[in-house]
Amino acid sequence: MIILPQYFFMKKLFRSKLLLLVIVFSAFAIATDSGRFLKISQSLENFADTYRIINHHYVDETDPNQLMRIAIDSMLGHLDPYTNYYSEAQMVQVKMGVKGGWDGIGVELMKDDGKVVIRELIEGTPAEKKGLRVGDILLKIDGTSFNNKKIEEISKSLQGKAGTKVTIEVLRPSSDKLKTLTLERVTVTKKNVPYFGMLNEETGYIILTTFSPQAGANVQKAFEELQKNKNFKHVILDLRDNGGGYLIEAVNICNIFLEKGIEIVYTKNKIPEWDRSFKTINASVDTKIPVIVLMNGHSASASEIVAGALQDVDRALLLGNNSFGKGLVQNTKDIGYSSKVKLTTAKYYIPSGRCVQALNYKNGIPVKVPDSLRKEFKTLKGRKVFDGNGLEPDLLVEDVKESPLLVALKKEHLIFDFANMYREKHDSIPEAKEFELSDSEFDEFVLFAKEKWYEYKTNSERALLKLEEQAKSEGTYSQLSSVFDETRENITKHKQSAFKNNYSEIKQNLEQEIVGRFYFMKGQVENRLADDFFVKQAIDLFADEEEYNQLLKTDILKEIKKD
Amino acid sequence: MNVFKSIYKKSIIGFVIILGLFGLSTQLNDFEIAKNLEIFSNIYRELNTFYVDEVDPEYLMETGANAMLNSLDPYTTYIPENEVAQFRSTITGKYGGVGASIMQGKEHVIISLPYLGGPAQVAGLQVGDEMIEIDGENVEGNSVRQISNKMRGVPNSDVDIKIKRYGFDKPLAFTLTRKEIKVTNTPYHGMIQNDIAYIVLSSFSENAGKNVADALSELKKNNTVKGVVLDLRGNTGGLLTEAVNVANVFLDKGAMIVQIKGRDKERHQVFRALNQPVDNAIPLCILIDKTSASASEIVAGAVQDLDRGVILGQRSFGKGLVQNTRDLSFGAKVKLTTARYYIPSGRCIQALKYKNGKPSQIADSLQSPFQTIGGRAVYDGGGIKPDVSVDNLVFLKILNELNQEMFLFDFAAAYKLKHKTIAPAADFQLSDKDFDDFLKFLNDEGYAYKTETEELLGALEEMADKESFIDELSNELKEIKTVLAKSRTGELEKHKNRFLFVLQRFIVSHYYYKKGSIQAGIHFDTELIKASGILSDNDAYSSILKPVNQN
Repeated sequence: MIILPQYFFMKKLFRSKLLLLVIVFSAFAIATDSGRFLKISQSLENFADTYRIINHHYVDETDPNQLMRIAIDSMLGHLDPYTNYYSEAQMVQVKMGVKGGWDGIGVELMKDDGKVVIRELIEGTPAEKKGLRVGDILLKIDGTSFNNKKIEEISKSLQGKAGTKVTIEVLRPSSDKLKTLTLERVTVTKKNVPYFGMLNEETGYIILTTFSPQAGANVQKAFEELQKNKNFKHVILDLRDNGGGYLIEAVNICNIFLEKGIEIVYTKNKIPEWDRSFKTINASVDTKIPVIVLMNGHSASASEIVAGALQDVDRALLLGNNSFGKGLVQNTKDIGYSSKVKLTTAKYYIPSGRCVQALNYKNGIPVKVPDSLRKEFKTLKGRKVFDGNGLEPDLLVEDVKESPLLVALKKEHLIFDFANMYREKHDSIPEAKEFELSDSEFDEFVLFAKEKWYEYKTNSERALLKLEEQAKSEGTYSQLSSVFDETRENITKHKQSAFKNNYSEIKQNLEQEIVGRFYFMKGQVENRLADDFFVKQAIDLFADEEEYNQLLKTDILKEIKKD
Repeated sequence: MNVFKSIYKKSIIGFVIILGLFGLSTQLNDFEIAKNLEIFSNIYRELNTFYVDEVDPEYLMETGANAMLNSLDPYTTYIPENEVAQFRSTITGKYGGVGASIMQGKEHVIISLPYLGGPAQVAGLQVGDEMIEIDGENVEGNSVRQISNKMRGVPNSDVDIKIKRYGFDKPLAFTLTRKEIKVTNTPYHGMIQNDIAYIVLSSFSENAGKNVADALSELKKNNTVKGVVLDLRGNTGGLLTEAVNVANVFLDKGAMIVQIKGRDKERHQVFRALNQPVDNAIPLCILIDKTSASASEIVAGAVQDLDRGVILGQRSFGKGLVQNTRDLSFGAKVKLTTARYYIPSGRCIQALKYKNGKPSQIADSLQSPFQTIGGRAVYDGGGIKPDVSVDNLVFLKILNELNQEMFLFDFAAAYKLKHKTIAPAADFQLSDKDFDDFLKFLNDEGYAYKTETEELLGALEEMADKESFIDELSNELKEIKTVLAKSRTGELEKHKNRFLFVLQRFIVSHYYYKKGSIQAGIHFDTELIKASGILSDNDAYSSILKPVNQN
């Protein structure tokens, strides 16, 4: 019974922590009364007892880790979707995501059909230099195979201090070649500005994919490079699909176009003393150059601070779709055992005073802010803007919906696999912006993908199957079997013509994927720019100076439905 | 912490060697438990201090606790202090209140049934009254549970309520004095067809066994009883010991009725009939439906496994798990599943498996066969399958839809307005014309029955539209629609007796409350009529209980 004293010690430790917690807590809890405090400690005690009781007395063996996971996730899920708990293993992924960098070999992994596959390869890393490719299957790390390990854990074991070595065994599916490689880990950074350049004599373009560290500095560097072009007259800042990141980097980016001392954003917390105002603190780079910010429904958070602040001080035009509408700020806190909690601690407000948050969470269930409750604000020059639904663009450009075929091809990883095979067969391809898939290559893809696509059950086909099952049990099937068959045939016919009907959509996606295999993210952006409807609209708008200036004086949303 | 961790690891190793045989996992669990609780309390502290909006600490904790408990099974729950009284009343059948059932109406919570002689009925509250105000507080929009909590209280205390009543412009005010309300678990017993005893047991609360025994004894004393129908439809269970007592009414002293087995082998328990039976030989038929659960399934299962009677109706719910409550601090409790129960043949009838809170049906192919004492084949894993199955699925689907729109309720209320009084419950009988009126009423209200196939057709149309197949399929979809529409005409008429049964009960409850409503339903009760037919036919009865010859 050596274990018992330890266990008691543990229990005691837990209790004393609780006590400690109480003291710390009351010091903080300015706004809370003793009744609330009592409720907190009682609730905690009842929870702890409940947890112990079920783990000891439930009819079957329990998994304490999983039970706790469920309790915490559900509790946090009842607040909002951004308040999350990260266990030690998950923290690795989080760090990779937020920091945009980690110590490793430069790959991102995914599970496909139970196999551990390289999903992304970072340019210039040991993994790329040693000839690893996207699609390669990872079999072992340092001699150990994975069994049923979770992808987070496998990713974690690839990481380690820069300078240390790791040995991996990989299989290239297209050639069945097995390789064992030893790589030295380095600090991997994922570029947040994968591309910038001139789109024509006058128009510069900068894309920012995430607000990771140095985002501001990198955008500024890019901008200063563009300034070296003699005819540089206006700039597009592409924030499409940029989900945000560090708030401070949003301020830094605004600072490029706005002079020192302008309030970009302020955050309001539960306790007023914690509220903060963020102003530009550096000299600007260019306060005059016309700017168009591209955004879409996936532009969120820090992206909305940049786009929103520039809109609110009438410094830039926004082009694209409504942004996501995330006006909540999160902070992460250590909670012991290398795990963390990320929680919403504030709302942010952009210069006009509006908060862009589009959804209210009532017990975790999102409720759209109704139009009638959206409040009107004024930009610096007096244009009308509204809160509560993300940012409305000055010029709306409709996004195109993905076809069922593309949805299926992505889900089945067929575009991904085809690009890998293409990479195997070609040592090089033309420049990214020149690259185009030939008709015969497209046909090759159709040949490669069509069987799987025909086998793939679209939602309509699933619905038809269910309908037939039910008709059988309700006894109407015999009357309907022939018309069911016709329906199926029609769907099949429609599926057969899908490659033709969605030709350009599929082709573009294939080209994007293939270019990425040779030229990474930078090439993908370049390739897309050749045929980017949003960008074309922006260029046209710059060309029409009068229209540009007129839009800067126009209310963003002329009317809002008040009922 | 690190120091602690290393000490801990060492001692685990020592421990494995010494005590490898038992409970290694438990000891490991203790470490995990402490670690997890520390993480939880840290998160909880952060939320209560720093979350952008004010959070309700109790609500937050209960949310977490309930999710965790529900992931095990739906019966493992946290009972906060303010609901302990309500929980207790489900066991004792007693509570301080005004004596009325309430339900969610279209807009507000409404009185669904006052109990005869209770403060609500005495003061003149009626079925359909809408709850507007309780003790000066506006309760429009409150849930049934919230209102129930507000209406209950210490006996002899007063509660002021305001209700809206159909046909009155202004709300009506009442002051009611709460009484100790005892909900009877045997709301009806009587004779049908002169020689069949009919006993309804609605819950296995305290004294269920005694009440059934008394009811049967009384009926036997005053009548020639050739058979007994015990009605367990809609009875979702209660106390396990009462299940044993109820079974004991028909089974010999000493008969093994149920045993429970939990994680701890030393605490397995066998429950036997403790008393002399009231009648161990009289032909018996037990009615069950898909809501008969738990203690109901122990009684029906024991009777089936011991070939003591015929089970008739629909397959029962399939709850084979036993719960216990444990006290927490500050008056709260946790109710948790601690065991499974096994009926005499040795089977456990639990129908669903829970994995991460998601129920999955135990496949038919995985159900194991067992034998009744006389050698009939019975199965585990799927509730009690009746010896005589009576299908009512389509009817239930329609009934469910009608109830959602409160159509039956409204029809009954309209009937009440037209008829100030009706014949005594035993004689009252709806006519064919009443049924036609009902069909007309549904038609006027815009109700059209849709089969499940038709609903799935709707889903297909929606998908085809989203995936832009719809133009190609429009002809086919139209044709399917026509065929399906034709196939369903007359669905309501097909179930005429079942509808009359429900309507009759609804209507009579307005005049004669629960007991009258059960009595009035007897005329149209499909299962009950079938049961008394079997009990009156010795050959039919015994052939059901005889094992089928198996090779």
